[in-house]
Amino acid sequence: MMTSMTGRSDYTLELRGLETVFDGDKGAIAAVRNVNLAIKPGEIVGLVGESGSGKSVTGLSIMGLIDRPGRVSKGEILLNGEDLRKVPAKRLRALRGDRMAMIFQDPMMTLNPVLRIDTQMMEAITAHDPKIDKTIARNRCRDALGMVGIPDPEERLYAYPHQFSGGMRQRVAIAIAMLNNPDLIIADEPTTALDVTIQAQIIAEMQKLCKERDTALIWITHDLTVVAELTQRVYVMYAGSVVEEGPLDDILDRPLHPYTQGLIRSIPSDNEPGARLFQIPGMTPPIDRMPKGCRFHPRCPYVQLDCLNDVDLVEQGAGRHVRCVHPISQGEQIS
Amino acid sequence: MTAYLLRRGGQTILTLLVMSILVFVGVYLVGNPVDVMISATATPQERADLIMRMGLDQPVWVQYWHFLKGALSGDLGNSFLYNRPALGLIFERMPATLELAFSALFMGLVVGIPLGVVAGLRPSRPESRGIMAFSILGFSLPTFWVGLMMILLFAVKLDILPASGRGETVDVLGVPVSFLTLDGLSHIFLPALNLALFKISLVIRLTRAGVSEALQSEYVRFARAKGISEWRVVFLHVLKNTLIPLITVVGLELGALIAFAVVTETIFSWPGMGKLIIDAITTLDRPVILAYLMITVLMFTVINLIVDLAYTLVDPRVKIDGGSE
Repeated sequence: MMTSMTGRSDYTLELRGLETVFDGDKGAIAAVRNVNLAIKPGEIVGLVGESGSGKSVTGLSIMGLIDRPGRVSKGEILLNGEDLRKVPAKRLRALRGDRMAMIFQDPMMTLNPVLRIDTQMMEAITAHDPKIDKTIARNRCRDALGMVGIPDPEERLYAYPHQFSGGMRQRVAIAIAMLNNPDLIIADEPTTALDVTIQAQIIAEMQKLCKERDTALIWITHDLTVVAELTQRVYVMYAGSVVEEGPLDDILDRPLHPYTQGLIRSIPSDNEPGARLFQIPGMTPPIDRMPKGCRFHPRCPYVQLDCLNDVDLVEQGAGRHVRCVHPISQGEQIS
Repeated sequence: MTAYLLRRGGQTILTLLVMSILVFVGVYLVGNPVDVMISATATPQERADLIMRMGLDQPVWVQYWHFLKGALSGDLGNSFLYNRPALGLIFERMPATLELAFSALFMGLVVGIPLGVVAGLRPSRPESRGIMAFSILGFSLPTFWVGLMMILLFAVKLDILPASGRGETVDVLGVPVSFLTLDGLSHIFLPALNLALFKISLVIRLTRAGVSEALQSEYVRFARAKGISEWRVVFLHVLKNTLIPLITVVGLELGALIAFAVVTETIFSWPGMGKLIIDAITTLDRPVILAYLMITVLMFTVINLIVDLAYTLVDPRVKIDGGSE
């Protein structure tokens, strides 16, 4: 396990009060607000929420890849104890792709269509180790391709992205992310664009690789079934904030936040054949028109008058946190 | 690949055939070249002799047949006006026009691409707005007016650059060129810049659009996530994708450059094909018109072929094969 140059930490990554805003005509609008998150080496954590909940923005903020007019405006991003908001751009670039890597949603778009696979892999190595022997670097690329299950890796190094299927391209992207053996991988819905069998293969593969290498993995998804297969701990995000956090099994068995409960009830397999699928009424509010108080209250089935008051994320039982004025009690659970 | 080239060759021959028929009949319908050429005092006998000598008394399809026979053996007929092979006349003038066109293309790329990259990378900066304003001017101002203004400014007022001619030339493989001597360079600079102005603007806009599109793409984000330098992101990941549309348009525009050179050549008295074809049209010098158009069609075909081949170098997704499209 690598220790950082500036300090030691039990956590690979720790977010403390992260806030990311987008500057617009009407001033800065927060897309992510006061997010706290911690992940240990080898741990797999799920970051769950609907589109627009701020989960991807959280991932990009960690990587320092928020494009203008967006910017991280508050909080600490500690990678192995080193605050990424305080390091110079050069140091951030050195960490990016080396100690932390990211995989994106659409494998058809993440690889540059006009560059060969070996070019796109080699640069990830040479960017962090310019003096490396080219043969050694090339062998590492080949081994990485083989590791993610690409047949004939030696030959496939010379291929272009369009010569791969979507699933294979995502494997290439994973191989690139893993090239430098990072401490942290952020996977932003990497299997959403793939079909279910490929999805299962890739999830199994990622799980194995991260375990072997003690890599911390943040899996961003809207799909609770994926989270159930893969992760140990879950953060549920809604409208830019974490609304519930805790061990996977606890959350699935006994959600405390009405939003989490809604997400769980929306899983199709929970329904009788022919029965109407559950939907959370309404939709995620746009980031410039957030409701007052609990941001979920307009869609909440249990809403009460005091839900208009601001509410913090509070501890609720062992290792569990919830941001709700009236967390769901034992009696209200729907089995 | 061979099948592809054969198919392209066949298409070219067909194009040449159709084009020559159209031009032949068109010029025949417009008027009689003898009326333009012969002096007003010529007797009817002299006139009839001339018409017979030129073969103009024959029906048009017979005349075309003679032309076709000659064309197959590489003879496109003699100019009515100069009584010399039309092809030879054109080849004499062609290097000057091609030199001008390629110089303008070179300027368009060398100036346009960097400016386009700057404007694409930082669209809201003042320098980028300045570049875009310049490109609007380059698009909108008529070539002949800009040419005249350039002469007025650089040749008349400032007196630092010559206004006409090719200047000193050197022979390269038997072809005279200007750009290798200082005097020649000073002569070609203004006409080339005049001709290039529109291309520079076009290249700026294409490059800017390509760069800003690529910058928003997921593959650029992924490239940045690898921690590679911003320099490599821009000049490899972004620029190589931008080149694809650029090659298409530049290929097409090279033909237009050769054609538009007519205006610039007239303003700067550049001794190219432009002057020749204008004269040929006013005197209905059919062999010269035909030969000029045949050569132009051939050049377009070759340019398009080169563009298609260049695609395969830049975009790996493009494959050339002999099968149907």
